[in-house]
Amino acid sequence: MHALLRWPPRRPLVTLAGLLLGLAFSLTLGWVPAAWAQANTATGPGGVLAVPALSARVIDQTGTLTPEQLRALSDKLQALETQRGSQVVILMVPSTQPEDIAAYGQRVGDTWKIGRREVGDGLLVIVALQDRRMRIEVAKTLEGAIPDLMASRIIERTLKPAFQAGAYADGLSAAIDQIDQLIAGEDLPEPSADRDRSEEVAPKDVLVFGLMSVPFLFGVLSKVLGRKASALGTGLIGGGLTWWLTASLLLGLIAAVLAVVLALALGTGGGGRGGRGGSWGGGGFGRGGFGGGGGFSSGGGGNFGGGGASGRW
Amino acid sequence: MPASRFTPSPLSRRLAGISLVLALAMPLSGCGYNDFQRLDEATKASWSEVLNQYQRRADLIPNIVATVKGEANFEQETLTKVIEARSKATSIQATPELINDPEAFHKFQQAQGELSGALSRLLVVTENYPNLKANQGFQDLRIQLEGTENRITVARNRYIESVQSYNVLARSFPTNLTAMVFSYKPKASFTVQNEAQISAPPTVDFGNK
Amino acid sequence: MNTLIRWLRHLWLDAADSRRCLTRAGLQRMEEAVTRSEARHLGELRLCVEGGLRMSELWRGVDASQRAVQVFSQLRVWDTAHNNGVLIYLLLADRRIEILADRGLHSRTAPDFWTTLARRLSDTLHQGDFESGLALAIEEIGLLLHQHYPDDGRTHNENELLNAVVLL
Repeated sequence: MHALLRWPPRRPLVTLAGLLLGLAFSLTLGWVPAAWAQANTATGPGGVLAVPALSARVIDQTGTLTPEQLRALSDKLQALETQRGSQVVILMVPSTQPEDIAAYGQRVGDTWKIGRREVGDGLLVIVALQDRRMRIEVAKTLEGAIPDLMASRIIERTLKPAFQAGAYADGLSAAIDQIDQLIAGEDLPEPSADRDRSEEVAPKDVLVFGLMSVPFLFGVLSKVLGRKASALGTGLIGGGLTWWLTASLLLGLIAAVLAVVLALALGTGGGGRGGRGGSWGGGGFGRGGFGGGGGFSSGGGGNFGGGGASGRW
Repeated sequence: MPASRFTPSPLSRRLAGISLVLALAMPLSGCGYNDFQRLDEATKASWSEVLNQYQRRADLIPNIVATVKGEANFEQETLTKVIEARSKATSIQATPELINDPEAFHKFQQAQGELSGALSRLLVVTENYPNLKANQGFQDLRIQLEGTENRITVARNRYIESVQSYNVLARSFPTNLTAMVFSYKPKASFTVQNEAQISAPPTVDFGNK
Repeated sequence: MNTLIRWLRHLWLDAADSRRCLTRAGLQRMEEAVTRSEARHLGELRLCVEGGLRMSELWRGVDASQRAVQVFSQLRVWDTAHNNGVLIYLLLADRRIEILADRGLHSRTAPDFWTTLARRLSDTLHQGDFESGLALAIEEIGLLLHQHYPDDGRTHNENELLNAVVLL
């Protein structure tokens, strides 16, 4: 192993093979860091409306709601999320043209992916002011609590009269109360105290990262500790990192064991100078969702299947 | 301390050989079989979703027909067309295997398209019957139908996307070789042209009434 | 599975373990025993204790006897005036003991001497008492060497090989 990392190489064939292997690894697993999920690049062909960034629970692009109303609605939605776990977002746009509000709503839902990842319980209320249309877009998991008929009733009986009278905030507030009631009646998983991370790291990225870092870690530690202690330390760090990155204790344990064995097999310290074949950047980390201002971010659920109802006033 | 250990060259040659083979094999195995498995399953899953939604629509229709029949003086022809279109659509065996058979797929798509057309014509006609418009039961069915139609659209779009990824893989080099070896053929997808013609609601001519 | 466990044992044990099974005082005593023994004969004795083999060796399927031959040549036990060097090699991970005698001595000894010695040694080592086991071996081999290559004061008894125990 030591001979691999010397220059000029003691055993050129082995060094070459190692470099090729590392190169192939990097190429196959992805050289460029995976793209962030960008909420505002979802412009379809034919000049359809861009999906706005998911910056808050209530997004008003028309300027209809006053700041107090915005805050009140936002607080209500936050309470709903804390209590029920589901994420409800209100979006007011001037118009959804040239798209139908249903198609636009579907795109927004697919892009934002609101709702908890394992549950998929997001709900979207869209109001297109100039079109005088509204829609409640329900994710698949919530279709039991809020079937199309209920969504339609909320629209016809709560939102429509309020909007016709120009009382947008009141209508929305009342609608949210009704939605809350309906969700409460449904048997959804309890909201967890600590929100899941909205980042995902693909296991293969972890594998590459691990393979590169074990020699390095071991080399660093063995300057300080003895061979066995640094092997165990490398295993601990490797396992801990894997656990943190993949949120899986089993994977972390497996990684720890593998790291220890690999570190022991490398022999005495001095065997690691960072990855020679391949690079640190190899295989970027895939991420889904991102944090916006105000501490609100998508839960990564998505799963909008086209359910819900539309209406006009 | 003993002198540094030497390892005879057969080891390094073997190591090098294995590494080279691995390095060459990686890109080949990277783009190929596993992706086909994954995408094949994805297309199957999205296709079952499409079938589900079509079935849901078919299940709604008897209720709609019954409600409309109760309305006196209703234009029978439109209603009959809906009933016929529905039985034709449900008579085609909608199985997961349909996506591998372009002929049968096309027939299925056509039948469903005709049903969509018949339904939209029916809904247009009911606009002229104030009793039906006031009938809450009928309105509820309308809402459910709209929701189902929307879901069908979404399911079809998702299916089209997944088939697209699959077909791209099945057609481009070098994965088309893997496809040939394991007989992964390109799958059928929804075509747009016929759909537009069939599902466009006709203008209702009131002059004949 | 067994191979895997054996490999893990080899990877885990190293020179530190060798040092631990014979304490520093013990090593000192061993060295003195060898020195005392060599004072009475013209032969050379070397002791080597190895914790575990390395990954490259495991991969190639090297076992204790092959390794002992390797160590024999590396420690230059063959390089004696009368070809009477002896190596006692202990591999902790496999719990093996190998005794290699150079051809000069081997030609003069009974064929079953070494196997009997090794067996008696292994019994003692089985109990975990490395030091007394090795001391016994040094004693016995010393006697044998004295029998065949006595130091009669005429030939110069040079200490051709170091007397310290080698820990690998």
